[in-house]
Order: sequence, then C-alpha cells, then structure tokens
Amino acid sequence: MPLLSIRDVHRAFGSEKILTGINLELERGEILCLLGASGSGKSTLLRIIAGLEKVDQGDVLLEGRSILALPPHQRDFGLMFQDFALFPHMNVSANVAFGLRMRHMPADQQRERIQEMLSLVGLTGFERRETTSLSGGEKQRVALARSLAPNPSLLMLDEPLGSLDAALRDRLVEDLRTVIKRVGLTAIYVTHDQREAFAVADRIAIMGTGQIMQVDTPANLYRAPRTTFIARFLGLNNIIPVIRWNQTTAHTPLGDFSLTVSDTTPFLLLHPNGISLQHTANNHPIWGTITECVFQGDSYRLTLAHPSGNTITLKHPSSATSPPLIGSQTAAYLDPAFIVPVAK
Amino acid sequence: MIRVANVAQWVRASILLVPLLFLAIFFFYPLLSIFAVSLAPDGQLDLSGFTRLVTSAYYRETFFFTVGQAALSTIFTIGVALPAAYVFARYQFPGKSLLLSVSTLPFVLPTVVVAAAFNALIGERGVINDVLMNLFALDYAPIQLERTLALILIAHVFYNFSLALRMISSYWATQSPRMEEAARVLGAHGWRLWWEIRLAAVRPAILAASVLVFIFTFTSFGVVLILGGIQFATLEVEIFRQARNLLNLQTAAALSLVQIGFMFILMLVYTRLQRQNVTDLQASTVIARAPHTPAEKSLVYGTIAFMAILLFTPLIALVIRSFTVGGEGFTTRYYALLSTNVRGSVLFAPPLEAISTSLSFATASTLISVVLGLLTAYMLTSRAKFTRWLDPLFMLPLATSAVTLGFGFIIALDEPPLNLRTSPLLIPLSHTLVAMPFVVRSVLPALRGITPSIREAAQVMGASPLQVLRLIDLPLISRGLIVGAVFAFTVSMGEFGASIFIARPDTPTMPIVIYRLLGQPGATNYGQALAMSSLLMLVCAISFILIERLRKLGIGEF
Repeated sequence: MPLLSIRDVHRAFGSEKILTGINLELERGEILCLLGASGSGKSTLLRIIAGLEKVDQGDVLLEGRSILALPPHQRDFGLMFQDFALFPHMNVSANVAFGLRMRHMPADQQRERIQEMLSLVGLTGFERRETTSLSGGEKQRVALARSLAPNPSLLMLDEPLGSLDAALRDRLVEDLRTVIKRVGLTAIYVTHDQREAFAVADRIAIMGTGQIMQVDTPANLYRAPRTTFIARFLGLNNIIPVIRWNQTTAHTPLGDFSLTVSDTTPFLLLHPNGISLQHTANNHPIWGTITECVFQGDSYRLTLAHPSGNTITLKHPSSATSPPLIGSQTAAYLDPAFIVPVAK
Repeated sequence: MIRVANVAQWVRASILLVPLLFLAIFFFYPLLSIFAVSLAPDGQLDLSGFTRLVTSAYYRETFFFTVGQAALSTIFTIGVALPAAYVFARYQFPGKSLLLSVSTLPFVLPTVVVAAAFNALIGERGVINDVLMNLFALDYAPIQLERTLALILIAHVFYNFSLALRMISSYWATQSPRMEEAARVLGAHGWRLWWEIRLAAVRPAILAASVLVFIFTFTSFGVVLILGGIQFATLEVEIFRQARNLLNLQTAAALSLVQIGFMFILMLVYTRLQRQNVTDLQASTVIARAPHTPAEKSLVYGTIAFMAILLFTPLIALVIRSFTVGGEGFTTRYYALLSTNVRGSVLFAPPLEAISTSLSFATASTLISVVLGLLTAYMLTSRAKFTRWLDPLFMLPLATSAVTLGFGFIIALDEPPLNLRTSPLLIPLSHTLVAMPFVVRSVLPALRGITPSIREAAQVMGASPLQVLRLIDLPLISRGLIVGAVFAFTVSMGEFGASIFIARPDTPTMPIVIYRLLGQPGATNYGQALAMSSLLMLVCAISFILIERLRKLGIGEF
C-alpha cells in the first residue's frame, strides 16, 4: 500500500481554479518532487497535505485512511518553508526542540535528539546561537533539523532552497538528499527549478495549470517528455511540427523521419543528446545556416536556421574542432534514436 | 593638514557648530543649573534638598504614585492595543489605512486640549452627565470621575493607544504567517499557539512599546495637573508646584534630578530594547486578509468600534460642549466672549490675544527649528565618525520632560551671564528644543537618500556648490522639511509644561489660557475654555492632516 494517496483533489479560490483533479501516490522511503512554474498549484497541494488548506473535492489518504478531518497538529508531518519560518524569539536548539515539546518528550531525550539532529545537518555547537545571527544556509539547515526532529512520517519541503543564492543552492541540494536518505524519510519536495528536481528526486511529478502532467524518474522524464509543454519546461526546445504521418514515417519541414513509435503525435522533439556536427552512419543530415554561436565553457551553443524557418540548437564540444562561422552553411546530423514524438 | 582647499570645509564646519552651541546654551547649561541648585544652592555642597525628599513620606508617596499610575497606564494601554494590533496586522478591512492614520491624531493634540475634551465628555459638566441628568431629571451629576485616578488613566490610554498600536502591529505584520503554520505542523494548537508563537514573537515590540508608554506617562504633566486636581501629583506636577507656587527652588531642583536620573535609566532600557528589535525581515508574503468567520468579523468590527469611541467621543464632546454649555441650547456666545476681557483679574488680557501670542511664538519657533534642524541634519549626514554620538545627543531634549526644561530656563537664563527674562524669544527658544528633533527626523532620511554621486554629477555638469544646494538638495528634501516645519509649529502651539514656567503673566499662550480658565468656577469660564480648546484642536487637526498627507508620500522616520 502506498504511504500517501491523493485522490481527485480539487481546490479553487473564488473563481480561480488552483487544482483540478490531482491524483498521486507516494511510496514509503521515496523522494517525490513536485516540479512546476509558480502558480501551478504545487504549494497549494503541499498545504492541503499538511492540513493548512481545505479541499473542495477529493481525498487524501495516509496508509489507506482519510486524514482530511485531522488538523495539522495531529498529522505528524514535517513541513519546511521557503522563508524557513524560524521562530525569531527562540534560539537554535529551542527551534529544533519545538516539535518535541509539543509531543511532551522528556527533557533529557529532547537534548539528545537536538544533538543528534544538529550533528546530522552539520550544525553541532550552534545550540545557543540566535536564529537572527545565522546565514541563509545555516537557517536552512536549522529549519531542516526542526522538521526532522519529531521524526515525521512524511517530510514536505516547499522550495527549501528558493531564498538562497545559486552557488549555495547547488551545494545544499546534494546535502538535502543525503540527509533525507540517511534518515530514510519519505519526502515531497516542491520546486520550480528542474536542475534541483533532477538532483534530489527519485520521481518527479510535473505540475501545470492545476494538474499533474507526467510522473516519472528524472532520467525517463528528460529522455521522453510527453508534451511540448513539459519538454520546454525541462529546457528542451528543439521541437518541430509534424505535417502528417505515413505509417511510422513523419513528414516534417526538416524532412522525413522513419521512427519506431507506437502512436502518432503532432510534434517531434529533437533531443540535444542526438544532434551533432559529426557525421555517422544512419544519422540524418539537416542543412542550414549557422545564425548564432555562444561560447559556454565546455561547449558552444550553435543555432542552425533551416530554410523552412525552423531553428534547432545544438551543443558543440569546445575541445573538438573550432566551431563553424556564423553565416556558414552546415549540416547537423540527427540520431533517429533521439527523435521523440511529443503531444501538444 | 590645513590647506587652502580646506578653508571651505572649515567654514562649513563652523556653521554646523551653531546647532551644537545652541544645544549647549539652551539645554545643557539650564540642566547643569538644576544640578547646581539641587546639590549646591549656595555654592557649597548641600544635600539637604535630597534628605528632605527621602525622609518625607509625602515625596515618597509622590514618587510611588508617579510610578504606579505610569505602570497602570502602561498595562491598560498595552492591554487594549494588543487585540487591535493583531487585527491591524492580520486582517484587511475597508477604511483600515484611514483609521490607522486618524488614530495618530492624539499624538499632535496638546495635553490641555485632551484634558478639556475628557472634561467635556465625562466631567461633572460634561456631555454624558448632562444627558443623564436631563434623561432622569437628576439635580446632581451621576458620574463623578473628575479628579479621580480613573480619568487620568483613561486620558493616558487615549494618548498612548495609537503609539502602542503602531509599534506592535507593524512588528506583527513582519512576522511571517508561515511561522504559525510551521508551529501548527510541528504540533502546536490552541493557547500554546497564541502564547508560544503569536504573542512570543511580538514580545520585543510589546516590551519596547511598554517602556515608551511608561516613559510618556511617567512624565505626564498637563493631564495630571488638570484632570487630577490637587490630590494627585506626579513628580512633574510636584516640581511645578514647588518651584512655581511655593518658590521652593531647591526641592524642585532635587525632584528634577530624581526625574532626570529615572528618565535616563528608562531611556537606556528603551534604546537597549530597540537595538534587540532589529529582526531580519523574513520574506513576508501578503499577510492581511479579509475576516471570514463570525468570530473574526466581530473581532475586527469590535476593534473599529472601540477605536472610534476612544478616539472621537472626547473630541466631539469638546466641540459640542463649547457650543452648548450653560443649558440654553446652541450658542456661539463663548467664542464671541474670547475677544473681551471678562475677568481681567484672571487673564490680564482678552483670550483672543493669546491666539495671536501663540501664533507668533509658534512662527518664531518654527523658523528657528527649521534653520537649526536643517544644519543639524547636515551635520549628522557628514561622514565624520563623531556624528554617531551626536545623533542621540540631539534627541535628548525630546526625552527630557518639558517641566524640567522650563524649570531649567527660569533658573539659568534670568540672571547674568545670560539674562533673557524679558526677551520675547525665551518661549520660542524653549519650544525649539522640543520641536527641532522633529525637523531633524523629517529631513534626515531624505538627506541620507541623496547619494554623493547625484551631487557629483551636478558638479561635473557645471553646478557651483550653491547651485547644487538649491537645485539638488533643496528640492529633494523640501517635502521632509515641510513635514518638519508643520510638526514644529504644532508642537509649539500646544506646548504647555515649559511654557507655564516661562510665559510672562501678561502674554499667556493658548494652552495657558485654557488651563487658567478651566481652573475658574462658572459656566462662562468653562465655556470659554472649551471654545479656545476647540480652536486649538482645529489648528492641530489641520496640521495633522497636512503631515499625514505628506507622510503618505513616504517621508520621515518615526
């Protein structure tokens, strides 16, 4: 039985529909990432699971039993906010101890647990520090220790790195996953940053306009996004329209592609992993003009304009031959294995 | 170090020294004179003044009463401000910002006006007693609050309510509602949520507001003097009585010293609290929302009703009574009487003359305050290190009680080396001490907001230093300057504690005339007092509207 099941949850604020039929299941020990742009309803869904928000329709089940009637303080969940919501009138150890006190844990056990948590997040020795004197990254770790301390059955993290700068984020996201996995927690992680989601999640649920659009492992999701929306959200922009299908052959403005597909879709995604300037057998050449060449360190990002008006971008390793000049006629070679049919 | 290029800097520095000189002569010199009179009245150390204070049960009682009434006033003020602060921080309702800005009106109202207003509301001759007597055909006033502690406390709550409300609610609004949610998810609910999170999170603001209200009520003068009658005296009132009525300067000076010492400690506590108050403003999303449940609605509308009653009924009663005292229906008689000298023995001059006296004093105070305040603000924005020490120095007069200032003036400035006893500038100078900090506080943020590069850009494009001042600085600080000037004018119009010491009997200001009239028997005097109070209130209300209008545009750091 899944730990948490969300069944056909609907929620609207006035006339604004936030969630329109959410279905989701979460296995024990899994880190599930809710990935979506701001306004896609992911935070609302999190608040519904926490009990801070009501549902208009649908159900939330914990181990098969509905928890909708339970107030937040009886759900035994952990929730970490984007602004951390540390209590400014308490020091670090009092913040971590709060959930333990609410559960009437004896004082000596509390002390032990605080030590354990602070060492887990790497803040040993910070007990007496005021929360206002901490750096952003330290606050984040106190907030994590605070939500972990009562040993919740489910940990929810709402953009836990959203208020930190990019460099810190890259470092902390790995720490976060390590800590959660070490404790063996089940977690729901909300973010709008796909790189963060890739790094932290076992599975990713893409949210858009109040619905879950696709749930899969990060690798599968990246390899085969189901729609153009998801592809674009993941930064995959080489999308060309299919004029018509003839059996398994797609006629497109860039030429005809014979693909091994089960269903026919209106678009094709040309995956960057399968585009190169190097010619190999079976690869399909696309001739066009180089219009842009941006140096990005390990590679150049080239933009190739096809006479049909479609453009594709590709990476060219900076260690290889020097890139073609802007304005030159060049062929890019597509590996058919990386041509993915996508729905609208 | 002194080079030709530095001459201009020296000139500038000596101009900036003018405010320091002013402070030295008109603040520290009188203060030192009080020290001298209390510790060594005849040139030799003589502590008999203090021995009298310590040994006399009367002075001990005065001290305990001062502390006790301040503590009670603080408890009641915070008690009623706390729910209102929660409402203002967490709920959105129509007219909220208007109500909040109107609630600051008492801040600019002179104490005599407030005293007269409460007298007109619930005094023996007040509106409520008048209505009750007519309703039940009584021949005595059923509510006897005049000269009771209760009336003093109510007036203090009226005065300090909005201060506490603003301090606590603005702090509350910066507390992320996520914090409460975090606590709920961690298992807190019910009273623990209130006690450990909601209230505890604003504890610094509650403490700071409490200390400030305590300071204000500890030094309360006009309210206690007028509403309390002779059986109540705070240290302030006692200093006045000893010096003015009993001519016992040494005791008055000793009392002043006790007062100064106590205020010094309170200010230390307050600044310490303020420093701790620097919270990191967590990214607080939109917090205030419309009330939904019936409980929330009754809390919000109850607060609005309470504030309306507390803030408006006394002021409305004042205006109504100024037209209806005497029981002959509506009459403008008391306003007309202001131009005639009915009781020459009381006032020496027709009350109307007091209006022109007050206006000219206030104009003079405003001019001096603006000039000195501007110089001070410039001095404080200079990059020199000593300015960090100077900033609190210039706020000191505001933290010193008005009675102490006035008392210091009469003992220091009426004999050589500086005899200003007959100078018409004496009152404006004393008002400037209190009014100048407002000018500084209004101008300073705008001045600090002018980055050096703006001036440098103007210079590079060919503007001379004077042109920079005229074309860059002045336009940028003009609105702040106007706010400061209006503040200074209002403060001067309503100033009572220092004026009553300093003003000469034949040139009383409006507050002094109101005080004298209120102390006289008879409906005519009473009616005149209320009429004059109404006029003074009108002036202050107009100033208040001006200030609020300009402040809406984001000026001033109060």
